[in-house]
Amino acid sequence: MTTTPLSKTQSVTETETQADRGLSRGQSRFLRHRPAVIGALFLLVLIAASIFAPAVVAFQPNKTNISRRNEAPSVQHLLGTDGLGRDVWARVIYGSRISLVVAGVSVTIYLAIGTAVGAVSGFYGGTVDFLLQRLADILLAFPSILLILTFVSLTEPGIVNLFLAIGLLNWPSVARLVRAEVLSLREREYITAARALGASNTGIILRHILPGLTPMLLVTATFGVAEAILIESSLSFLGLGVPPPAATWGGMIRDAVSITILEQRPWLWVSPGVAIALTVLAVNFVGDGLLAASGLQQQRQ
Amino acid sequence: MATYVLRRFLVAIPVILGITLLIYFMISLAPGDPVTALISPHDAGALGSDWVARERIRLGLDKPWPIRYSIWLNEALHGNLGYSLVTGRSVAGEIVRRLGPTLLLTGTALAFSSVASILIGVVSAVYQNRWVDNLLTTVSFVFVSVPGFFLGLLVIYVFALRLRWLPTGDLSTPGQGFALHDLLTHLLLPALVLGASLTAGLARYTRSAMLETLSQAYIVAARAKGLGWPRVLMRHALRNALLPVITITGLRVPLLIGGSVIVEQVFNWPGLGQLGVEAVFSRDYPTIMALNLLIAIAVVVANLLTDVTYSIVDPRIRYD
Repeated sequence: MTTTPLSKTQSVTETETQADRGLSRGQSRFLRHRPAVIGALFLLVLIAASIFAPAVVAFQPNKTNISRRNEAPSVQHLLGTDGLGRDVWARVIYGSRISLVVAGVSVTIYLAIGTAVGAVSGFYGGTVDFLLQRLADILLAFPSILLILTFVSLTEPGIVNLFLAIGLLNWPSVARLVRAEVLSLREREYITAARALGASNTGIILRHILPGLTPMLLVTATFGVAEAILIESSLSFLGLGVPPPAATWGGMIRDAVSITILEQRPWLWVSPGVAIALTVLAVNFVGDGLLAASGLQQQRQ
Repeated sequence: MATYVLRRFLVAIPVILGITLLIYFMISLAPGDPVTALISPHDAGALGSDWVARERIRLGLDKPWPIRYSIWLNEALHGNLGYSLVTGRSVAGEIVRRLGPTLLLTGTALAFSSVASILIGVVSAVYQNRWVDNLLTTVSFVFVSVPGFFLGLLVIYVFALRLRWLPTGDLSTPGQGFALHDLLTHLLLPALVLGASLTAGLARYTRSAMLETLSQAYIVAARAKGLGWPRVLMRHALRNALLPVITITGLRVPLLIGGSVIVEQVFNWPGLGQLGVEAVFSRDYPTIMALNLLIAIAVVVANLLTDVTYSIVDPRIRYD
């Protein structure tokens, strides 16, 4: 799904008006993409809440209270309490930290690897290109969740291993995109001009080729974050994420998988589930807005 | 055509070998080893380090990993996928036992999402930028954003626990013999959940392929000739729009396999995905290797089938 734009955005260019003066065309397109703006606002609030979590919640996420177990949502416990009397709202807010950090760090890792591999591959060609592309083939031919599962199972559970599992195995699609762009940019006249002026290969890649890839990388990274949040929560749900007692969205749902809890205490699993869905939806909307703003959608279709 | 298929298959072999090599390498880096994982620390003390060393030799764990890999590969090529470190049973036998449920689940999900995504995509394209299209677009976005396990629990809550129309999971009602009706009621929810996010993605592609086709000159010509709209839509536009959709569907097979891991877990569906999660938890290396090999082959074959189908439905494409 990651590359398909919302239908509304396709007519955006026609509706740009004088009122947009002062903003670049990309910025005004983004601001006209209503879901993207709402998504961005939601994410800003979420990020603020996760950074300032102690100020947002009245309880510690791991503070148990045996006398107040399994309470339904109330004014004091906004989303109720779990089987150990922990405040669900606090755990949802603190849980956002792990999802956001894992997604942010792992996407940064694979974006960096993918960009480097793609740039080298496309710019130099030859044997290096061939070998890197075959490695990419191997990783791309594989359902990433399975490779990640295998990877995670082999290491001790922890946040660093999630960074590595998602970060080290997902670079090939970025490398492919970057390589294709570099191949098309490599033969442009301004590159030849830079070379004639004595620029080194590294200088050309860093100064003249990569800046042109920024919009594409930004869009890819945004959709990548949405996917990484889904992967992280799935791993936590399977019991392979950050281990308890740390609050994770997937882990909270894992703890609630029993007929009794599902049926009688829905706040325990609906709250983190809605948190994941809203966050991923917001990120996807922002990605869609960026795609519209970058004017890449025609190329990418 | 036959040469093309053969050549594609030969090209795929290094990819499949590469995957198994990669996984084997990853496993060889793992801390700890299966011998100590199999016995409790208490037993390890009682049996002594001598016993552990002998057991490692018996299992061939004392050899360096490239040699172990070549032994594994040689055996696998001869049809021996080894024995589970946990149950001691033949891995191949276990896989055969689990293959049926997984194929049933993924096959149903794929069929469902193909039909649903084409319907949704066509409706979206025909009513482009009207409220129906906007609604379907938003719904698609929601479905790709909801994780499979949460959607699974939601439908279990609504259809199994509240309405009590369908069972909460498993392949069949315990204690009952095989009955088609029973199987179908158990299949419905997991197949829908697995198909949902796939449908959402595919519908977007169908929509844009349809829009692209509808803007072609031959569509205008067909309309100008006086053909009715439904006929133009179905005979002239849809058939051509489906070409790119076939490719995308083929490329989604890995996603389907990945999704089945989660869905099988939620619905306690006794398939390969569940076997994989169990193997991962118990570090059952022979099972992990065999499953990865199987999935690598499945993905490669799916890609090949996609290309072949493409050349059949689009006579313009020649592969020789």
